[in-house]
Formats: sequence, C-alpha cells, structure tokens
Amino acid sequence: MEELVAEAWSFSKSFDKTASGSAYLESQSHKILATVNGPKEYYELSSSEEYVRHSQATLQIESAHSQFIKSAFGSTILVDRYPKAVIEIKIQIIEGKESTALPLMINAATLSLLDAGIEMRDTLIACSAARNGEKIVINQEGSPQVIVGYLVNTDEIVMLQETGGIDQERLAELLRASIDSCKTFFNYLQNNFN
Amino acid sequence: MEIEIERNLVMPGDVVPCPTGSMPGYGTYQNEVGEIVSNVMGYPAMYNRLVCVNSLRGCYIGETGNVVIGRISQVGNKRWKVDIGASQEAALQLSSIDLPTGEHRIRSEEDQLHMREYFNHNDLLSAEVQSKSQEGKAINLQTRSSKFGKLKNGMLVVVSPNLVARMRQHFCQLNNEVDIIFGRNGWIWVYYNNTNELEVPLIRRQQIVRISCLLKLMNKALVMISPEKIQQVFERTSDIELEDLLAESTLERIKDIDAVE
Repeated sequence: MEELVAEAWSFSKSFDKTASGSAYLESQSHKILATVNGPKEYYELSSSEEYVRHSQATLQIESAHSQFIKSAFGSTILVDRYPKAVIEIKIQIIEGKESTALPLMINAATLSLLDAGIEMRDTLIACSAARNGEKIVINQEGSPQVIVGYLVNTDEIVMLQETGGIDQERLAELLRASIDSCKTFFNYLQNNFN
Repeated sequence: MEIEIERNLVMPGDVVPCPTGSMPGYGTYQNEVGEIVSNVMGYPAMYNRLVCVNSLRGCYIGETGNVVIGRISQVGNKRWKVDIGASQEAALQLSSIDLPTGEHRIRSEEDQLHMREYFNHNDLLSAEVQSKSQEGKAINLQTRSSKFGKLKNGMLVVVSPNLVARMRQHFCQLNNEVDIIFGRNGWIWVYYNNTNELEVPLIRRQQIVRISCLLKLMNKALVMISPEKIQQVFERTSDIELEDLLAESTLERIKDIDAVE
C-alpha cells in the first residue's frame, strides 16, 4: 500500500442571506467561495432557436474552469425539473492557485447547490490525485495528475481530466485513490452537514 | 396523514428507506432498479404511500389553494407576471382579479388599458394559487376575493418557505395591534390594517418592525412560523429593546421554542 497524503479542509454554508445557497470551503492552500442563485425566471428567451431552454433550466457558471464545471453539473442537476428557469453558480477563489483549485471549486459548488435545495441526481464530489515521487497526493500538485468528478451513490464518473503522461497501471492507481477519497469526503459531508 | 420514516438526513443520490409499494413524491425519483432515491438534501417523510423528501431550504413549490405574496415583475397584454420566489414567475390573468368597482363582467379592451392602475410594476400583492400547469411548474394566481389585492402600510419579511405550514387562517391579527399575512411561499406581510387613517402612527410602525425582527429571528433559528409561535416568541422577548432584538443572545432564547410547545 502506498502512502497517501491529503489536505485537511473545512466548510461552512448559508453565509450569504441574499443568495439561494452559498458555501465557503477552506483547505490549507485554498479558500473558495461559492454562491447559487435561482432557480428563477430566465428572461433572455428568443422564441424559435432556443426552444430547448423552454423545457429545461439553463446553467450559468461564472468562474475559472467554467466549461469543466458546467459539463460536470449539467449531467448532475436535474435540469428538466426547472423549465424556463436559470440557475446561476458563481465560484471565487479568494486564495490559492487557480490551476489546482478545480476539485475544491466543484465541491464548493456542490455544497452551495445542496444549500439552495436544488434537485440533483446524486451528490457530485471531486478530487484530484497525483503522484509526487513515491507518494500519491490528494488535492495537491504533482505529475501525472487526474481530476475526477464522481457521483458517490450511483458510482459514476462524470468528469475526468488528466495531465502528464499516464500509463494504464498508473491511471488505475490514481483513479482508485481519488474515488476512495471522494467517498471519504462524502461521508465527512454527510456527518457534518447541519 | 404524515408518517415520519426516519429522522435521518439524506443527501441527493441516497436511497430513501421505505416499504415496498411506495411511490416517489416530490424531492425523490425512481432509479433503474426501482428504488426511491432522494434528489435534495433533507428529511424523508411519508404520506400514505407517497414518499417525499422535505428539503431544508429551496424554492417554493406551488400548490393549488395556497395563499401567497408576490411582486409584479411584468405588466403584459392581458396578464401580469408575478415573482413569488418559485422557479418560474406566476401569471395573474386580467380575468382572475376583482375589479375595484366590484362588477362581474367580461373584461374589455378598456380594462386592458387600465391594467397599470390595478397593479403596476413592483407592486406587492396577496393572492391565491388558482391552478398549476400539467408538469407542475407554471402557476396561475387569482385575487377574486376582497381579502386579496394590493398591499400597503406594512413591511415584507422573506423566510424559508418550509417554515410556513398550512394553517387555518393565513390572515390574522396579533394582540389587536398588527396584522399579518402568511404567504406559503415564505413571504410574510406585516402591516397595519386601518383604512381610516392615512398615515401609520409611530407606535404601530414600531410594532410592525418588532414583529418583522421576530420573524427574521425565527427564520434564523429554524422555528416553524405560526400565529401562536409568534405570540410565544413575542412574550419571551418583550423585555428586550427593539434596537437589541436582532442580537445573538435573543436567538438563544427562542431556539428551544419548538420543543416547549
């Protein structure tokens, strides 16, 4: 068994009374704020070409890595439950590197979506696992690295990002490590969310 | 009838423990295996065979017959769009309001020209949910009763919709002083109901602010809101000055009010 190194982190929620949901996540290297607004009426509807928008909610994400985050949450949030509506997610990195913040940003967004009571298929948790010499590090820099967006209950990966050259064996190892830490993360969340 | 299943917090994706033959209600869906899975964070409850998850927070889901408070966001051709804090704005048709003259007739084009006199942009109003669309998201409102209509002489407090349960009377008076309308969408209107005086006297205004502060505190302490509870909270905090009402120490005092009954 290889050694795992993970960062301790903590969170708080509902700090912003004007937003529908909000969360603050802090780890040793990062401080991240996320707020959710909506679901509320989406005004910029043009009748013919964007017909799809009438049948489901639109996600608007304002943050770094917004494309990754949008694709991850697009398949997790039950958008068809909110026709003609818009859900705004804003994520800010107050402190820390943008390049390593992605998993924490997704977790902060999940927390604020939970806080807002938005219907989701499952709880999306993200983790990164990387190799740093002989050790596998979680949510820290290293190469090669994988970032996994994982649905804990349905056992599905909705987002996967790889950097650095990874062979099959290494990939399996890193995936296993990150999925395990996603589960640990989820348990921690379940026990501490109140 | 409501049966509590287990007082365990469930997260989205968690399987809700329930007897076989149960049906998925709001806050849940059925997965491929046939298990009932929660899709919000909250506490599961069972109504006969219907399994639901009551989320801790979340936007208002309309139900026919609910009293709600809303704000006009658009004046349209034959209808108003009303923001009631739901995922979509509700519609109020010109034909489903009471004309100020009290007549009952088909609305003409003349009435359409006067729509801004009845309700203008940003006006607050109380109304009732008349119907919901098939898929259950679009809401129609009506104000066809003298008790509904435009709101004035008061203050709006927005609380979590889950804290306002269905009650016998959504329009009530507290201590013969201040009137309250409880909107099921979590919007509560605290006001002074006297049509004879043009201006609200200072003492009444202070009482309105006091009740509004109490409602905000109850929202913070997650206490179910009802006229009786407000009365209890009011008595417990009657010795505190209005200026100090929103302090943390007051919150401590009302936290256990649900347990006392």
